[in-house]
Amino acid sequence: MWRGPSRARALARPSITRRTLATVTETPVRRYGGLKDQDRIFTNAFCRHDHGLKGALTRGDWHRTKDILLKGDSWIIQTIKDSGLRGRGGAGFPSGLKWSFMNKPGWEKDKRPRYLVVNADEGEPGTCKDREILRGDPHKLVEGCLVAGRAMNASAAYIYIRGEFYQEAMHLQQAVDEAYKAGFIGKNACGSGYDFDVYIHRGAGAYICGEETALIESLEGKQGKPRLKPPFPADVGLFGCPTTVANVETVAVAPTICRRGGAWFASFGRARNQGTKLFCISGHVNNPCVIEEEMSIPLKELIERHCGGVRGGWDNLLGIIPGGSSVPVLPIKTCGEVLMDYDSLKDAQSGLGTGAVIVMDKSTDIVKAIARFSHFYKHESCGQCTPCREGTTWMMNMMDRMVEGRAHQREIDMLLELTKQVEGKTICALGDAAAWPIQGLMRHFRPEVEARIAAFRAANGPVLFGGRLKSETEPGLALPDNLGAHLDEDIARVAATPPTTSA
Amino acid sequence: MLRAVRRPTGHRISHRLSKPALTGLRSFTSSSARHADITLTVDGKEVTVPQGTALIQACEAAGSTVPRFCYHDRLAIAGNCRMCLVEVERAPKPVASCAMPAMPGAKVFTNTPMVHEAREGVMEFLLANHPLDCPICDQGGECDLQDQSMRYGSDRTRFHEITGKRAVENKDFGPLVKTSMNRCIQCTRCVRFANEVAGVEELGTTGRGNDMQIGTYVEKAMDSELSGNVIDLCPVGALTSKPYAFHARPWELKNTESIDVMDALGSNIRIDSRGVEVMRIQPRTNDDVNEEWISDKTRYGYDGLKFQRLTVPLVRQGARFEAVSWEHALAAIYDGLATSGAKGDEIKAVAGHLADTESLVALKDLINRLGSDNLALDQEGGDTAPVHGVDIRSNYLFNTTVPGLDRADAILLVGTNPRHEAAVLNSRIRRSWLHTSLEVGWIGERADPAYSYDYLGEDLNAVNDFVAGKGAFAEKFKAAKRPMIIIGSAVAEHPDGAAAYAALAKYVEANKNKFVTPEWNGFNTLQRIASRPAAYDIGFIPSKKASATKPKFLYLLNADEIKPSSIPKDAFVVYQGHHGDHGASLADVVLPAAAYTEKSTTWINLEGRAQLGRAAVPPPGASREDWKIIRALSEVLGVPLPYDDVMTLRDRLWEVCPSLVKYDVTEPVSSDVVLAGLKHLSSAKGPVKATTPLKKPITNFYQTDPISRASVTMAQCTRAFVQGENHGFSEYGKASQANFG
Amino acid sequence: MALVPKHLPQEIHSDKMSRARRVGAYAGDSYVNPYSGGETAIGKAVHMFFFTEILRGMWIVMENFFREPYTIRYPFEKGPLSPRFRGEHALRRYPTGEERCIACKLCEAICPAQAITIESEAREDGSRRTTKYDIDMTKCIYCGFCQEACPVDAIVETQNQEYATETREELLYNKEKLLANGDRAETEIAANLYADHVYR
Repeated sequence: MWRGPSRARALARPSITRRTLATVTETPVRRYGGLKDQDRIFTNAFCRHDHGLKGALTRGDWHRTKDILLKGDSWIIQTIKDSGLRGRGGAGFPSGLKWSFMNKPGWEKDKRPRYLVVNADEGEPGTCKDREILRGDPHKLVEGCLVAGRAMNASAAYIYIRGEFYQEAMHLQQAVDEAYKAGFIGKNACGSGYDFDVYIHRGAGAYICGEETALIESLEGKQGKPRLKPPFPADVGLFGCPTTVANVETVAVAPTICRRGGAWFASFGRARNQGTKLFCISGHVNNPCVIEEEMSIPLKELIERHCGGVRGGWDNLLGIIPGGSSVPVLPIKTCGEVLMDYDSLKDAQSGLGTGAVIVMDKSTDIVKAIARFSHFYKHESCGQCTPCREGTTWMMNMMDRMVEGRAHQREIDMLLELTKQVEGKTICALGDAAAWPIQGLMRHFRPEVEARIAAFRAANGPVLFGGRLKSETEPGLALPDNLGAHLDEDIARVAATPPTTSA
Repeated sequence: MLRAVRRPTGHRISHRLSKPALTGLRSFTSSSARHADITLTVDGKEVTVPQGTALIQACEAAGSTVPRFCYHDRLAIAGNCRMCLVEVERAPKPVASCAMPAMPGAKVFTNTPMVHEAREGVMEFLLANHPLDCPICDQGGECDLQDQSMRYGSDRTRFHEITGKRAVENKDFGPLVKTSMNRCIQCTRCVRFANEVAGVEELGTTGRGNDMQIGTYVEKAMDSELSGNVIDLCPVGALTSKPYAFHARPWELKNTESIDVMDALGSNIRIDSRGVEVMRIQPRTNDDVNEEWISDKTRYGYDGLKFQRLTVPLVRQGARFEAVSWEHALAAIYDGLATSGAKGDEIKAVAGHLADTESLVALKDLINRLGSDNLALDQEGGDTAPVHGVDIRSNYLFNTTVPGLDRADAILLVGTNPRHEAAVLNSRIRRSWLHTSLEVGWIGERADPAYSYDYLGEDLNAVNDFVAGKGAFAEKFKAAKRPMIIIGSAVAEHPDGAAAYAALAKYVEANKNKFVTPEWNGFNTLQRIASRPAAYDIGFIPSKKASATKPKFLYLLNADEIKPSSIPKDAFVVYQGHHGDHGASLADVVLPAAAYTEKSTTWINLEGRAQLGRAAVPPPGASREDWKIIRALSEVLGVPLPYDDVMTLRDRLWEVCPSLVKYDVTEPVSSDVVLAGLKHLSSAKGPVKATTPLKKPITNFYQTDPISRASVTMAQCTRAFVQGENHGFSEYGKASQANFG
Repeated sequence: MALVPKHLPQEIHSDKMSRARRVGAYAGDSYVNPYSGGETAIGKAVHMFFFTEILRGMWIVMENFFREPYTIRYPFEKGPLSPRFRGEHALRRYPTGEERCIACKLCEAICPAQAITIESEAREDGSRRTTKYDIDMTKCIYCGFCQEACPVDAIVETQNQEYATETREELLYNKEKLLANGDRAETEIAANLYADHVYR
């Protein structure tokens, strides 16, 4: 059978299609992922080796830190900028740029002390990467504090560690003590002539204290409630002094970047999403783990390669939350396509967040899962600003009813409207974080919610707005028309009349 | 500095700097002191505002009203109600205009669909958990939430959750503030007020999320002289007035702008009355005097106007009083004067705390016409001329002026507790202390003024030490650019008063380049009695000869603090006043007069600022305005006074002292005159060593005059705050919830 | 302009002619004859010549002439009253005997004749109650605004219209009188309110 040229073209790989003089060689498609062992930064993430100073030294920590310090603040910041490192705490703000805010023109004249605050208050459901760093590689963090602190000319670093992290705090304290003893930090840190102190502060376990300004408030001994911005912490932060708050991972990778060069770090991942990152994969995978991988690794490959695949095979997948509880869920179709980096996930209407991948297979009650998130955000809302305080509770109540199906069809849209009313109106991002999972649910799993409502309705009769059954109302009294009771009749009538076929 | 330093916790951007030496500020404000003007566009309208202005103020300046709940001009910014969202060009999200500084060239829109949607969303959330109990809410009719929901609220709710609305237990804030915490929208205005302005860190938030509550942490009344202001601040009905509870609606009330007389500050007030009854008293904004605050005595003392009132003239018949007609009473005085045989200085007049300027002038004229100079004041040592004299105004007035206080960088308080003597003024000192590096020194009996101070001693010796430059505070004071000395009015009544005045006057003279400049006068006396500055201004003091004379005829004008022992047994006593208090009980003839809410009279405040009080209600029964009584009496006594109406009387005021009728301004005393006055003071002779400690003149803030002594509310406050009893007017747990509802 | 009918006065053809008037004559582009509906000229002429309308009118007169009269013997017989009838005022109570009025003073505020006077304070148990609730029935204009304004259905206008008095003072109702009215007519008031609740 003669095969036409078109068929042959379709079968052929794109790189070897017919060449004409005008064609140039296309760049080979780069595949991301498969980070080699020698490129790993956190070599003791699994805590298999000594976490103390001795072990850290064998892993290369504190190696010629003095030289890095002596190269000065602008060199460090430039290296970080070159490396393309973006904040690993969730927002993904370019770290080099953020650190450079501390060194505004004329900063030398400002006599206030300057602080680096390390956010080790890792409380996002699904996220457990900082914990591994604190437990296995605390010296990376302490050294990172020194390097990052030098970059922003800070006089001290405060590490705000989550109160529940007991062992981690012990390891970290041990690391700080050892570093002081070895002369790596404190007066004349590493012999560079630079004075730098590191303090550890244990939090009391509020999720909102992971927000940078709330963390500062909490460090100051006040209620952990986010502050208004502006002024930004780089102007007025901890104790009124210039402050930068950075995630543990961001700080901990800084020394390695400085040692191996920004270009090395930038060689991983897609443009604007460079580097390596700790991913924490949890949920319905065969082998949940925390693993350092190259950025932009396809989500599917991440799960297949490191976690032994989804429980019951890829086709058993229901959806994946790719970045911790505060980002929208992705359906299976998208999961097979996205790359694990900031831009790809943003295009998929989700986010990388902290890189906490929560995998859910078909056994998951997705509505209940999202309702649980709503519970979490309701519980963790600080109560300061109105939309979040009232909105999280309201959304939680509605989600609880959606789990059962005890709601009116139209309330789905109302719930979505509520999430829009919260999103972007609050002081901090907790309002957004509470709104997004629900939006993601309704975007991808709306039929599931609708089916539940229909099932509940079939079993219990019409439901009014707010969850009351129509059968529970006083039959002799007229119902107000904003309860949706009459809408049901309309719907029923429309359903009863056969659709007219008109031209 | 022995006291624990109180610092606000609610202040969003206040932090103790780790190195106080760097700035010395107790509260860090991010906005710098630069005052360059910037221009921005609000709703297409260009507006120029000083740099650092909040966007909400820029919008106001451009005439675009922005709704708000948590934002208040005089409090720190919380930015938590989210009602003031506006759209700013190139901002992806709506911006809270109260928390955002105005940026040059910004384009702001307050009337776009995005803004409306955002505000409507916030309003829906606010109303979701707000009970629909407006009909029984005292805030109804003057409620910010009501007003703004008319514009941004929906007519139908979407909140039908079966879980219901949030329910919050009511808190017990004491006898003044009634709480209904279900209505609270967590704007935290009250918390910020208590922490910043009042300086009592008893209010705060507990819990988080939807369970966040405003409260006093532990069950404790809010012990502050300014606690009533949280009622005005509360944008909803969560905090309402307990004494006023359920009594009236705002639309029924007639508003009369008047002046307070409970202390010498002359707070501007609005008397709300219905018919002949004063229903409540609220502050009126006057940035030069009381800003927006009034003390609790000012606010709640009014119910004393209903009790113990004198409504008819009374004449003593043996051991009891008999109600008589005015003619009869005046005739009885004529007879009494004749039978007592008082001549010349034996006729004595005593002016009390609540005597208004008009009646003081009239009484002085009357007594002078009767040939006497025996004009005493109702205070310790009031029978003799005061140590500071009355010839030079700067010797007894608050020369720095109340707004001037904000610029002081060191204050020495001598023999005074401003928290009780002028509570609102004290909040200004506190604000200065909080936001600048103000240093405060304290001589006299210790007290808690809501800011920390360097304690120098309790008596004249401490004054002498200070003047001699001993001690750390004296050195700090020396270094100050705008120092202030505030001498309590009680010092002049103290045996060591003359010496203390002399020592301090010498100190001021020695440092006159700092103390007395054309724009600064740091030598102050803090008067605590409403009528006193006026009495000094018109020279209501006895001559030397008169003060030695034993009186046979006494005329007590509102004099209720007088000691019975100071009145000779055989003297004929006339009392004129509005309350049947101590003074009336000593009298042979009692003349019922009008209280401050019932007469239009002039009041001179502690800075020498003349202000006009206005009558809100008619005087009860047969009582009359004070100056009219004196005018009528002068007719009967055969020495008619030459004024028949209040305008001619004010002409007479002008003759006596022109500043008495220059309303609403303070007249600074020129530096030369001030120095002359200081010279006069420093020449006074007195004991060198201290005899007794300088005592606080006010031990019970809530009961200082006949009105507050007759007030039920003030009695409750006395029991709750002064005697520290929880005597069951609002015992928590025992009474049903309805009691607080 | 060709479609402008001849009988219209010439001046309104000018450009000054208001648009509104033109719209009256035109719907879109076509002219609509305002007389196109209704009776024909012949029909009208027939009615006029044969006095049909007059005869029909006379027939109705004759019909009623032989009918029973509509008059009712008032004190003994009474006509029907709407549930919305606005008569004498009453203050209602809850079934527990607690008075409904919460002294919100909305009726006082809305009363156009200012016939209502209320004074209130906190009762012993802390609830908001009136100490005085007076209605001057001589001022009242029976507009019903008070019962519209009432958030708790406390003040209502009953169907009682027979409360004429011999002296003016008797028409100055106080709280006791109003509550007594309510107690007396509670069943009737409740029935009327129920009958009307669908429309409120």
